[in-house]
Amino acid sequence: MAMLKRVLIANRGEIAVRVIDACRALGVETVLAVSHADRETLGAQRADRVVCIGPAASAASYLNPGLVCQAAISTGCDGLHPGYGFLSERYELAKMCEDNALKFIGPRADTISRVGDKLEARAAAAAAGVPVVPGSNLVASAAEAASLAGGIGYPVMLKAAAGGGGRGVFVAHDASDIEASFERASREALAAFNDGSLYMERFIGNARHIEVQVFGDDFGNVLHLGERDCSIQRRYQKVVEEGPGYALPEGVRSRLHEAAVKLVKYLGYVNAGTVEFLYDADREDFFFIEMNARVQVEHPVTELITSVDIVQEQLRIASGLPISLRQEDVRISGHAIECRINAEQPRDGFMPRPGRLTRWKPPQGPGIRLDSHCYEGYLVPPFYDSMIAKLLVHGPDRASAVAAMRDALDTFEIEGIETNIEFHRFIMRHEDYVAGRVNTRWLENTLLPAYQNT
Amino acid sequence: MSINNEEIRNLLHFFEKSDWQELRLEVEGVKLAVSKNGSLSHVASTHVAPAHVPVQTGAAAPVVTAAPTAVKAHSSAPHAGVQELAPGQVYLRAPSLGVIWGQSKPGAPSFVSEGEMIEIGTTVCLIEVMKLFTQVTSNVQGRIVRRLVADGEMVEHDTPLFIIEVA
Repeated sequence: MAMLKRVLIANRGEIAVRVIDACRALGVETVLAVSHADRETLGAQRADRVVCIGPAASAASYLNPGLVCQAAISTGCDGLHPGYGFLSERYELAKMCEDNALKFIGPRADTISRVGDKLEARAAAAAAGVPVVPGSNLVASAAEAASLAGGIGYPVMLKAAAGGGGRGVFVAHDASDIEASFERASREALAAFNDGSLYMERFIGNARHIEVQVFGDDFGNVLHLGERDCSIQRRYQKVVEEGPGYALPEGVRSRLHEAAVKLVKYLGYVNAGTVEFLYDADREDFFFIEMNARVQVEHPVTELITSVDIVQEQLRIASGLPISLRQEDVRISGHAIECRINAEQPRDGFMPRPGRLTRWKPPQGPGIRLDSHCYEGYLVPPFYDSMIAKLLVHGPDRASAVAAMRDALDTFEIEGIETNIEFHRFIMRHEDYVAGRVNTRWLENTLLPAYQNT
Repeated sequence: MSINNEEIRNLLHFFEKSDWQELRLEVEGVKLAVSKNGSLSHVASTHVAPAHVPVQTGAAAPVVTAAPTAVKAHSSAPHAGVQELAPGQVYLRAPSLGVIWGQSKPGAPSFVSEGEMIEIGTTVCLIEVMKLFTQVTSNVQGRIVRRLVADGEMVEHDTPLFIIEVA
C-alpha cells in the first residue's frame, strides 16, 4: 500500500490549512476546493492547486457533494478530505466517493450513516456494552412515569418525544413531583409540538462533556488517544477544550477508554473518530452521547499531549496503511487548553463581527500553538462561521497551562474586527474555572451573568 | 453606491430602446460603456476592479460581466481562454464548477454557434456535475462572438464560457 497521491480538501478556514500542511508533510499533493469568497485565503495560497467550485453561499459550494466530488475527479485526485462541519458527516458524499474510486478520508459511508442516526448510535452503543443515559420508551401516563422513574434513577427529565431545543422538558426531583411534572410536560408538548407524548431520561445536573479520541484501521487495529474535557459550552457550542480530562478518577478514566474502544470495535470503525460521553460528576458515572465520524475542531488538544499528528494518521489509514503506533506507545504528557477565537462580540449576544483584519499579531513562544487561516489584511467574510483561530497552549500541568493561556491571550493583538478574546481572558481568570469547578451549564449559568456585570 | 444586475439589465434595455448612441456609467466597482455603432468615442480607463454581477435566471444562471473589465487571473488556476472584451461585449460565466458540453448528447447539433443571435433564456451549453447535467441559459440578449471552452473541459465557478455582444 502506498500513500494517496493527491487529495482534494473540501473545506475552508483553518482546517483547510491544517489538512494541507499534513498532506505536505507526507508528500501528498493538495487541491483546495474554494468558494468564490475564499479564493484569497491562506489555504488557497498554500495548496498546490485551487479550484473555485461555486459562489460564496455554502449551499451552492461547500455543501454540494457533487461539486466537490467532480472537482476531485477532474483534478486527478485519489482522495478527498472533508474536514469538519460542511459535508464531513454526510453519507451522500462518502458514498459518492466510494462509487467513484475516490478515497474518502473518514469512515465508510455505512458507518457514517449508522453513527449519524441518534437512535441507531445509541442502540449500537448499548449492544457494544457501552453505557447509555438510563431512560424509557414512550410513557403513557403519570402513573407509568412514577413506576418507571425509580428504575431510571431520580432526578428524571420528562421530554417531549416530538421536541427539541429544550422545550417540553421538565425535571422531577423525586416521586412527589413526578405527577405534576408529567402533566406540565405533556401539556407543553401538546401545545408546542401538537403531540403530547413523552419519554424519560435521567437528569444529570452536574455533567461534564468528556470525549475520547479514537482510531480504527483496515487491519482491525483500534487505538485511543485519551480524552478531552469540553464542558465549557454555550448553547451546545464548545468554547474551551482541554485535555486530559482532569476531573476524572483513574478508574473512571480507564473504563471510559475501554468503552470507547469497545464501540469502535463493535462498529468496525475505520479512520479517526470521537466518542462523546456525559460524565456524571456526582455519581462518578458516564454515559454515551454520540459518536463524531470526523476529525474534530479540538483535535490539536490531543496532538499536544500525545505528540501524535491526527490528520497525518487519518491520511495513512485512508491510504490503507496501518495506524502508525500501538496503544502501549501512547503517552499522555502535560496539559493542553484550546480557546476558540471567534470574530464575534460576546457583549452583543455573541453577534458575528466579520471584517478586515488590520492588525494580526498572534502570540508566539514555547508551548503555544495557533491554528488559523488568518493574516494581516485578511477579510473575514460574512458567509461562514465566525471562528478565526484556535489558540492552544501546552504546559506540564493544568495550572501552568492556564497561566500560559492567560499570557497568550493577553499578548494576542487583533485590530479591525471585534473578537471574543476578552471573554476568554475572563474565563481563564474565573476562580471556578481555575479550580476546575465547572460543568456543561457553568458557562451559561454562572460565568455569563458574572461577565455581563463587568 | 453600487449597481446590481437587475439595474444593469434594465439600463441596457432602456439604452436599446432609446435613440442614444452611447452610454457610459461609472459607479463603485463597475464601469460600463456601451455603444450602438460599435465604437466608443473614448476608451474607458484601463484598470477596473473585477466587477461581476450575478444574475439569477433559472437553475444554472451564468454571470454577466460588464465591459470593459479586467478579469483577475488566478495564479493557481487561470481561466481558460480569457481574452479582452471589446466595448459592448460581456462574458457568460459558469454558474459553478463542472464539465462543459455544447450539445445535448454526442453527435447532436450544438445548442448555439458563434455568430448566432440568442435571447434571454436561450440554452447555450450543459454543465455536468457528477453525471448530473444542467442547462446553462443566457441572461442577456445578443450575438455570440466566441465560445471559450471546449467540450469536456472542466471549468471553475465564474469561468467565462462565451463572449456575447449585447444587442
